[in-house]
Amino acid sequence: MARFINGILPENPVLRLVLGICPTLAVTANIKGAITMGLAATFVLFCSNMFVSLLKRFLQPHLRILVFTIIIAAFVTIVDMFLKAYMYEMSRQLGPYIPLIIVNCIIIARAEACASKSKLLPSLGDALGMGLGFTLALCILASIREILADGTWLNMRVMWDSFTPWTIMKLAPGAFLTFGIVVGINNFIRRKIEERKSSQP
Amino acid sequence: MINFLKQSALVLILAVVFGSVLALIYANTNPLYEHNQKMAIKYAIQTTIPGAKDAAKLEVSEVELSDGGKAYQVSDGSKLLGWAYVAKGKGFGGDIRLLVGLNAQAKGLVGIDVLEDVETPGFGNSINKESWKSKFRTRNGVPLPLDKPLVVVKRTPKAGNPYQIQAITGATISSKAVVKIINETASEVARQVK
Amino acid sequence: MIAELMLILLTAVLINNPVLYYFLGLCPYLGVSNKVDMALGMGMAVTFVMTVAASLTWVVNNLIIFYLNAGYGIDLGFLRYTIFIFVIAGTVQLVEMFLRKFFPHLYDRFGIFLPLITTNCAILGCCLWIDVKGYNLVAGQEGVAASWKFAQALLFGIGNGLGFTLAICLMAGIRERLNFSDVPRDFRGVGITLIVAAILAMAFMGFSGIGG
Repeated sequence: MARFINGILPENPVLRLVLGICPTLAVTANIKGAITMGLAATFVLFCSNMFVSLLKRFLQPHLRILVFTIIIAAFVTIVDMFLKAYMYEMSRQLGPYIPLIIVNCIIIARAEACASKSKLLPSLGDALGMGLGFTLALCILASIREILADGTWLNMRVMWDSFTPWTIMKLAPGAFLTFGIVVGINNFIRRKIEERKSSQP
Repeated sequence: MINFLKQSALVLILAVVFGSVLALIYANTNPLYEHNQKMAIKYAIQTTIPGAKDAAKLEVSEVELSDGGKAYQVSDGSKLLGWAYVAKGKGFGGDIRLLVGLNAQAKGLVGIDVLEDVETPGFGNSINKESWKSKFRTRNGVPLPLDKPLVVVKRTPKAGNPYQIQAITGATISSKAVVKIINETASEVARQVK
Repeated sequence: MIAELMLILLTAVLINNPVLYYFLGLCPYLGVSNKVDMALGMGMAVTFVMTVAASLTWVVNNLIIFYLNAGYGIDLGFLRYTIFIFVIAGTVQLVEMFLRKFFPHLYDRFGIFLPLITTNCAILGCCLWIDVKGYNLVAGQEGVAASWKFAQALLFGIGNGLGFTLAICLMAGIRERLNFSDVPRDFRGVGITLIVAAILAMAFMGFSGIGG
């Protein structure tokens, strides 16, 4: 349970550890894409952590990464096939970013740092926490970008009618800018919390 | 040595297990994927060719073109509605893929649909808007002629001149790109399928 | 024909830059862009591996998977991603051994980056985008020569590598100067790097339309 919460905020993979940021920027132009991507990565993370944790007794240093890669690639292919069959539009929109989950550093980092050393339940909790933390970060970025670029949130109009859309937020520079500012704000909040803690022991 | 064998056995077993699971899922999902792809083309055809009302009932058969591409022969089961083909070209931000519809006699342009583009949101990607695509539709039931290339103009085109297409404000390059793709392919495809 | 190949190269470097347009390879982009010479080494290593990996995966994808499917009806499409990642990992290993044996100087310069490259998404991304861009063989288009498609894929690989090198070197140059400027405390490191990347991406947007 502690591990579950750990992934969501204190060690949020995207905002805190800055891992797996390629999809973070690429799919956050709208929220639907961000949620799909987040859940797909969570699923892969959950399954790979489960298998790595079950197999950890057999793993040896030099073959470890190879086994991780086989497991991750297999589950990513499964996700890709399901999206193509049941969510065709979404799979068109995300395109090659789904197979790119294979090289998403979060997944291999969690397999290495957590699942290959812990029992089954803690590693599953860790996977869920990290996955949801990833999804949450994606949603925050996507919300900012979608609201500013289209004036909508999940296709619902939230801005006033005369609002001029900030087209740049839909494009690459908007993605970098939003992420940079969110990381900065996150650091700021964290520093304030820590200062308060240390001033009142 | 024993250890080495154990390790290789582990990798092999994993590979075989995952491989067969993947093959099983693939066999079940791939037909759905192919069905989705076909339906996507049919929905695009539905918006392109007048008279094609219900995508599910369209009958689409493929015809080989000399450059290796394909044209789709579209009918509603009883009568020929028109022809459609996919054309690709360079736009402002990258490739644009269009579905171009021709009438049943393959003599005139009856509509286009944008399948894929990476034009600038808010400017170039207005080529996806109905107001732009409607410029390539039949006008009062008369399809756009193919005998001469279409031209992009910035002002309102002269009434009765079917060759002039008004550019989107702020997106002249994207407008020209779309028209160029059509000019380069339409009359050639029409000649081949006729 | 040459003009078209050059256009592919130019597009990959300037317009559809892997880092600033497709957001690929961001981990090394943020991690190794402190010093210009380090960035250049990383860029060269990526370019090299990317060129080899793009051509190898093209060969595997088109001469093995496609041929088995078209000739014998054996559809191995579900193994594509697994094969890709192993081809890339193998390429990195080969390049490492090759460099250590024949070009020890080069190996000293960017050997340390090579193990990092396996999980660089720019490489896998480049191999995957070859399909999206239409440089793969397609059933029913046997009229198009395989060598022509291969040349396109190869140039796309080189272009992506050079694009990555350009982007990371520009960023390293800016960050060397940035060390002397007064950045708000919470934005130091990742934050300011991303904001600079935003400005670079905006500048690169000016190149779009070259191909039109």
